[in-house]
Amino acid sequence: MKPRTIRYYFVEAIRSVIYNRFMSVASIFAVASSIFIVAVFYIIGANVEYFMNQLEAQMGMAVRIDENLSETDQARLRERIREIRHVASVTFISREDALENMRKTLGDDAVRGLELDNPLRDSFIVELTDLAFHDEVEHAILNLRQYGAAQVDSDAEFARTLSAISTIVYIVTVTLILILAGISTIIITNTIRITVNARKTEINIMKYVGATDWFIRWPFVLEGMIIGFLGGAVPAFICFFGYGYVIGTINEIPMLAWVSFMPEEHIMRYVFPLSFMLGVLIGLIGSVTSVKKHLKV
Amino acid sequence: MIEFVKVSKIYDNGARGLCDLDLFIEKGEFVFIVGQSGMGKSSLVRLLLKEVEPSSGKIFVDGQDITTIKRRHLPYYRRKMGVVFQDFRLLKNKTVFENVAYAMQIVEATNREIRRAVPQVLALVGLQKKAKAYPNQLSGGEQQRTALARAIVNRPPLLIADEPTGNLDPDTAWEIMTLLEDINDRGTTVVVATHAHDIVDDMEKRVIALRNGELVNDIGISNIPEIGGIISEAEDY
Repeated sequence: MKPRTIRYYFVEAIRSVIYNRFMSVASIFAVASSIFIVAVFYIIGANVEYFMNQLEAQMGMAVRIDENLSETDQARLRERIREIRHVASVTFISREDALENMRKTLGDDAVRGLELDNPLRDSFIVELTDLAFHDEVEHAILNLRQYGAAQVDSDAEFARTLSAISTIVYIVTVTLILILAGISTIIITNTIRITVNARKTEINIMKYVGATDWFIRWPFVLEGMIIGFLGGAVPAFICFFGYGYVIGTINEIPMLAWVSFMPEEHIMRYVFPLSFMLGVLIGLIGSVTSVKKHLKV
Repeated sequence: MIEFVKVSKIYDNGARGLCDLDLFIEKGEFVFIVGQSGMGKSSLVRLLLKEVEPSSGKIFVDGQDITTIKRRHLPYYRRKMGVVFQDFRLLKNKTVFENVAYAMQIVEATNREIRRAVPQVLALVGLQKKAKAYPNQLSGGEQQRTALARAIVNRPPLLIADEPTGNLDPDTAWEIMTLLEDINDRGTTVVVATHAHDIVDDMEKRVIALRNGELVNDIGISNIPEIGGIISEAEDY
C-alpha cells in the first residue's frame, strides 16, 4: 500500500465523519454511553474487591511461639512459615509489643498489672495472599509444632465468609462487565450498521468503478475506529475527572469517612486506556461487519 | 472485443434474461442494444459487468473468459471498462472533480496524474467550470456528463452505457450521445443499451435487437434503412 493511498484513506475517513455528522454524533453517543456503563461497573467492582482485600489484609493469623525457643530457632520457624504456599508475609511481634498493642486497643486499665507478669507470648502475624487458603495454611503451620509453633489463633469462620463474599463479588462484577460489553457491542454495531446501510449506494458505485474490497473498506474501518475512539474518550474523561470528586464527596460524609477507596491513579491506569481501546475495538468490529454485507456486488 | 457464446441467463425466480445468445462485437465498434424493458438489455449489461453469472454459455471480453474470473479479481476486470447508468450513480459527498478523480485513485494514480487527467476529461465533456460543484448542484445532463468523464478518465478500451439518456430531455440526450460518439471516434468500443428510437434511428450505428432474451435482429451500418423496422419489430412484441 502506497503512502498516498494511506493518506487518502485517513482523509476520506475524517471527511466522512464530518459529512455524515448526524450519524457520527449518534454513534459516538452510543459508544460513549455503553462504555461509560461498563466503566462504572468496573470501578464499582474494583472498589468492592479493593475493600475486601483491605479486610483480608487485616485478617492475618497469629502463630504463638514456644516460650523456650532460641532466637536461631525462631528465625528458622519464621523461614519455615514463609515457605508455606499462599503466605504473603510473616511479621514478628514480641510479647512486649503485643501488650503495648493491647493497651492501645483496650486502654490502660485492661493491662494494669500485666507488665510484671506478661501472660502473652511472642508470635508471628501471618498474612495470606488469599483468604480462600486459610485452612490449608493453618494446617501447614500446625504441622510445624516440632519447630516451635505452639498455637494458631484466627477467626476461621469469618475468613471463610469473607473469602466467599469476595469470590461472589468478583464473579458478579466480571459477568456484568462481560454482559454489558456484549450488549454495548451489539448496540454500537447496529448503530454503525445503520450508518453504513445509508451509504449502500455509495459502496455499490465504488464497486462498479472497480474499487477493491479493501479500498472501499479501509475508509469505513478508519471511520469506525475514529468514532469508537471519540466515543471512548467521553467516558474516559468523565471517569478521570468524576472519580476523585465522587470518592472525595463520599469521604466527607461522617458515617462513611472510614471507607477506603481504590487510589485514583490505579483506577485510571486501567479505565483510561481500556475505555479508548474498547471504543476503537467496537468501532472496528462494527464497521468491518457492516461493510462486508454490501461488498458482494 | 466482446463475444457471447450460447449465453443463457435464468434468474432464481424463473425469469428469463437471455436465451442462447450468440453475439460478437468488434474492437472500436459503436453498438446499440435495443428492446423493450424486460427483454434482456439489462441482463446483457449485468452479465458484462459480471454483476450476475450466466446460467450457461461463455462470455469473452478482450479475449478473456469472464465467467472464470474469481471474485477477488473482479475489480481489476471492471477497471477495463467505463460504465454509465441511467441514474448517474455519482458519489454525492464528492465534487465533480473528486467523482472523476475517484476512478483514478482506485488505480493508485499519482496526484500529479490526477491533476493533469481530470481537467482534460472535464473539458472534453464540457464541465471544466463545474469542477467544484456537488452532484446535487448539477442538472441531469451535467450529472450524466460527470458520470461519462468518470467512465473514460482511465481510458478504458470498453464503455458500457445502460439507458444513458433515460432521465434526460431530448436536447441533453443528444449532447450525451454526441459525446459517446466522440469517445468512440477515439477508439473506445461503446455499447449502449437503450430504447430511445429517435436516437438509434438517427445515429446510424449497428443495432442489436433483443426480444424475450433472444437476438431477433442484428443490423450493421451497411443495413441502416432496416433499423427502424427492427426496433419496431422488437418493441411490437
